[in-house]
Amino acid sequence: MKKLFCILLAILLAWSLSVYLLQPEHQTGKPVIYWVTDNNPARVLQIERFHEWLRENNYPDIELRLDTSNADLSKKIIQGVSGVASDIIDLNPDTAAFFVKMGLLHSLDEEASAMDFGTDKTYASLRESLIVNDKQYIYPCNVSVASLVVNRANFERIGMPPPPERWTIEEFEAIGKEYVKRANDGLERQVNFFSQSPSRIPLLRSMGDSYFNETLTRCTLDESSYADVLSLLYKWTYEDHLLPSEADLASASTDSGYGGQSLQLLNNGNYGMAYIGRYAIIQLRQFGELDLDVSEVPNGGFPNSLITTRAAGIYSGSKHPELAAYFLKFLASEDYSELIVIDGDALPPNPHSTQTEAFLRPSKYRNEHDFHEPFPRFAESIAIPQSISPFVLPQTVMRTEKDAYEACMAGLLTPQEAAQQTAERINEEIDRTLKEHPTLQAEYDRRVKLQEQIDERKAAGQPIPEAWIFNPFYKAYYKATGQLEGVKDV
Amino acid sequence: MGVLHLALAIVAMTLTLPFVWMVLTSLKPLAEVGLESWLPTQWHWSNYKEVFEVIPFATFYHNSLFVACWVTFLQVFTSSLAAFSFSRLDWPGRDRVFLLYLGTMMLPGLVMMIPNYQIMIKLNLVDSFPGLILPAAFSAFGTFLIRQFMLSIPKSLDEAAYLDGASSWQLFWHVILPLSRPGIVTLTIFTFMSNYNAFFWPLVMLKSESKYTLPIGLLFFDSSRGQSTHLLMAAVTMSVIPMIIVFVLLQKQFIRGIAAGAVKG
Amino acid sequence: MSDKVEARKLARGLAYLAPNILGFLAFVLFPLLFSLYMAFSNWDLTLHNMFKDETVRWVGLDNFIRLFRDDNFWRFLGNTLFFMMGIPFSIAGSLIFAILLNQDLGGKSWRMRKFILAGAVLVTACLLLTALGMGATAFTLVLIGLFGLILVGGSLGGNTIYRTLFYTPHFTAGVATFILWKKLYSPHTGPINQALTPVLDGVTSAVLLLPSWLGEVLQWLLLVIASLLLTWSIRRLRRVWVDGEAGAATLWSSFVVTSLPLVCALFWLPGIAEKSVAGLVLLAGLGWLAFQVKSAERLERPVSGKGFGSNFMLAAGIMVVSFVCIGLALVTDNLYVMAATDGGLAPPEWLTDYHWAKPALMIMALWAAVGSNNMILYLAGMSGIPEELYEAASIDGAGPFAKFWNVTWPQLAPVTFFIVVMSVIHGLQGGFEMARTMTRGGPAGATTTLSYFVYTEGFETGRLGFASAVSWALFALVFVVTIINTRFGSRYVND
Repeated sequence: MKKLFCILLAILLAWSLSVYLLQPEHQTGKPVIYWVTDNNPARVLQIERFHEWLRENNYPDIELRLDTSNADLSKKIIQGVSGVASDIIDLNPDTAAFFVKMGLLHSLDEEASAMDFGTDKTYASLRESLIVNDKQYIYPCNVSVASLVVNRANFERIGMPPPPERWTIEEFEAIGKEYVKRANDGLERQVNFFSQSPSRIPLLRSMGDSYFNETLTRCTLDESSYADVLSLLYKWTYEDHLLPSEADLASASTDSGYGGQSLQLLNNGNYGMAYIGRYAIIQLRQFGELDLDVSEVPNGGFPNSLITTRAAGIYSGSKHPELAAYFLKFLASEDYSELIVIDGDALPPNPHSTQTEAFLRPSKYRNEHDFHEPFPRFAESIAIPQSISPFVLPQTVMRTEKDAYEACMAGLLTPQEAAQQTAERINEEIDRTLKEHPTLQAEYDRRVKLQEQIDERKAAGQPIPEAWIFNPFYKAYYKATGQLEGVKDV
Repeated sequence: MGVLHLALAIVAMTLTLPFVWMVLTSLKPLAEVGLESWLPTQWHWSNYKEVFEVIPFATFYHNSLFVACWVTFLQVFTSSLAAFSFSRLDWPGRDRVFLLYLGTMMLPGLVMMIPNYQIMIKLNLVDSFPGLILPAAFSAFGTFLIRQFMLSIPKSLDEAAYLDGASSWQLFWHVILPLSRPGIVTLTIFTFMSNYNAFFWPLVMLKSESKYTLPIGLLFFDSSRGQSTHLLMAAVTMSVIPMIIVFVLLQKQFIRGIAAGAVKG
Repeated sequence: MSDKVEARKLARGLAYLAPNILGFLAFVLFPLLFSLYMAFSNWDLTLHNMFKDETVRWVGLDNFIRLFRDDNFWRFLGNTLFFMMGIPFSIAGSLIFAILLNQDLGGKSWRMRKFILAGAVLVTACLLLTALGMGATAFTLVLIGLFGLILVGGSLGGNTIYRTLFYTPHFTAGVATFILWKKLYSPHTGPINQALTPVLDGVTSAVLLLPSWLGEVLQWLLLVIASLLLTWSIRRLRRVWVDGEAGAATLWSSFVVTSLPLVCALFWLPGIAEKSVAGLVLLAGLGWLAFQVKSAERLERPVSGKGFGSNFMLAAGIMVVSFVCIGLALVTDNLYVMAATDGGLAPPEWLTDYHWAKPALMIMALWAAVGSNNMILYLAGMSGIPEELYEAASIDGAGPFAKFWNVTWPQLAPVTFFIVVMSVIHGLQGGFEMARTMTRGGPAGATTTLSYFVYTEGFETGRLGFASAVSWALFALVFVVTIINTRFGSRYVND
């Protein structure tokens, strides 16, 4: 027994020693920086191009490595707070706000002006999303303006013209009913749907409402048209069957590829339209030459679309923030944008690249000539970024809303109850956040005062000064409706 | 008797069906995955090779074995020492300490996770093997199991050994430990299996792919290439093999160990 | 002198303990106290981490007050308890399997050879058919082939083979199980629904052929069975009460448990008539029992917890059966309508359906648990039961059931006790891995358990203080349950 133990111990120690000696680290001489991002084949190409770009411009020799196994949000948080996160972190504007709160992001103000990747280099509608507490923290990699991508062949097959680019909710419903009727004619079970469900945010906004009030101090879903949006989606899903339910989706027999199963369904003819950004083209090209078109999300009076981005920020625990900044500079360069133009991975960060022939009418893909142009046009005209309140965590807002939405769709809550519950919970969260972060209180009080003034002006039908408004939606909405001070009716 | 046989065979079949489906699916070509027929038309043994090509499966395998072996060794060793102290040595306050110690067995591991993580940050052990091994290596359960076993060994042996001039250390190594073998085997199996499958702690702790253990590797495989069901199933099948080996080799001793140890507690 | 000896003894004892206890102090006790402190603090990742260092404040009971007001906490606690309803089923299953495995299989008699022969024929037939390319009936082939194979193996290897086969679900424990079952449950391409679809189609056409009033009749029949079960159990309770075999606590807790299904039926069943029958039976049962308990003469006055273990176990068994009856009643009531609506009966969407996600996970857990360590523990327990007890029972003329109830079951009481305690502790903290790998806690939070809640609150929202408070609430629950278990369970064990 004693011998056995000693032998085992010896084996284990020898094993450990060999594990220690064979550690794959410290192999290259040049500095290595890591980029935690999704598992997308396009990233490999982007890294290669980055290395080339460094050499061409005589920048320092850096090796950038991918870290695709930690892209999960909770893993990024756990690793971030313990000092072991990757140098460059993939973030959305809303998660960036949370990371800044935790102090995990390196402020880019200095580097951005020195190395020329400030917010003015990208789409105007996106700028606000890159800034938290008046400082820039991220720079976009792939900008997305999700819209309804139309497969014209599916409409042609049943003798209908493709939908208009801009349409109202009523038009959407009328066309959709006709579409579903014709497309499922003679089928035992409905397998064809008008469209993939669009996001709830643009629908709500098109009715002139937002998740939050003008100063982002209160969730206003309970007093907005949110319940109408939910009833509409419920009706479209379970009564008119324009949109597929969860069960319909689960029984659709597809292997989901990159970009999800919706694209496969769009290709197979099960969907007339898919709600997705320009990056859909990566997958769609694999299906062959589809005749594509793009429509806006139907509107209840105010046409709009949501602009978001996958962006890169620098980790405050990074050993080489100055080197990592070169990668952001690369993201702002024409070289990177051209890469995005060609591979179709959403919109390039640099808007100039979207006005080229290569972008608008790629010679290799004649079928796509109506596909690319609308995305940058939407981005410059009707796109509005997410409304992110500094007084509540964005992921809590999303989870709370999604919970109520799912409960409503499962028939557990009425739309009114769902709206009520969501608003109540989010407002509770705001109160709790204020209690936990007393430093926010002063700013919150200031905004609440502003909100009172705004409400007074609204009640009196007077225009509102732009500086009082923090919610990007209301800025755009009041501007369009002529309720902004100093801006005349267009 | 015949009925019994049939009943046993039917139950065994129901329990193993998912397993059979897994193995058969792992041998299908991609195009046949999800079809109603369970049998592949072509047997793709190369799927197994492919798993090693698409993910660093060998590394995951190695890491899991490495961590599980260390934890098992440490736990068995320290638990036997502690169990010896609790069962064969006489010292003031022994039983009270043991009760307190045992009480922690019912603590949800969850409670300890967050602070343990803070400790690992402070010790700079996040994303390292020692960080995985250490918190798992000391358990009250192991001590309890082996103590039960040692209690069943007659006290007269101790007296005889002491009369022969043996020290307590010699008594431990040459008398008590060899006699507790079934208990030790049981603990070995329990510890090995649960640590080979450990999920929660490695999920929180690990960052580098090169340090991933099998469960984390499988999860990563599922989330990144979950559509390749056939490869996923091949990977899962392979991850199970060490467990089968351990169980088949040691099952007699295992059951004897449980019978003699835990149950009479 | 004796002090010195004592001190030396202490030193020696602690020296052996040291390696274990040091690690224990560092990685168990210290984290424990630390997390207790965190539960009373405002520790939050947006306030305190490597890069941010605002002072941690003591917030007293704030976290706990928030916890009790948070309806999410109660909902997820409900989910956790719901999942734990699978525990009695899995324990019963383990016990049955252990009993089956514990039978003498009769060695290598001529009868065995027949089995081997039959199995071998089945296997070869299947192999031949496969070789000939009978792909269409492959599932049946696999079934028959497997069955044959198991028969051959079982006849040759006996218990060892069956034991290993029963244990197989445990080999795929953890993430492997969850990944496997996620694929099995896949609504369209998974084997479960592929097998269910033709079965349900058959049921649909069968149901449509039958007259529609049959469902109604069956429903009433099942309701009557459930009522009769309750009545029988009440009569039995009265008897043990009068005989002095059960105390007040035992009596009433058993009554509550057995009447639970009918109480649920009050809410679940659709018709007024059904509701009133269930209500009447309940009221009458309660009234009669109360009257009997008050007026009946008793032989002796035992402590209120006397006989808790066996009576409670029996009550739990009855509860399970009547729940099944009530559930079937609901099904038969709706079956005709469901079959008549478009498309007939469709297999459930399992993990993506709000109402099916929980049962789906429970079925999986049951599969993983029945043949595993619990069964081994029972087997080990059975091997320790002295043969004389059975012989004595035989002499008294006891049949197999009486032998089980009077010998095996009481002798296994300590094992059962151990298994129940461990399962409950496990169940209360369980569900994290399933939620993380299979459902992400969805749909609409249907599969979020407390442990997953702790994870999301701690590592997605960053509220470590609150997360610690949740885990301590969980600990309090485990503690209470264990105390109850020990109080009644140990009495039961010693009965």
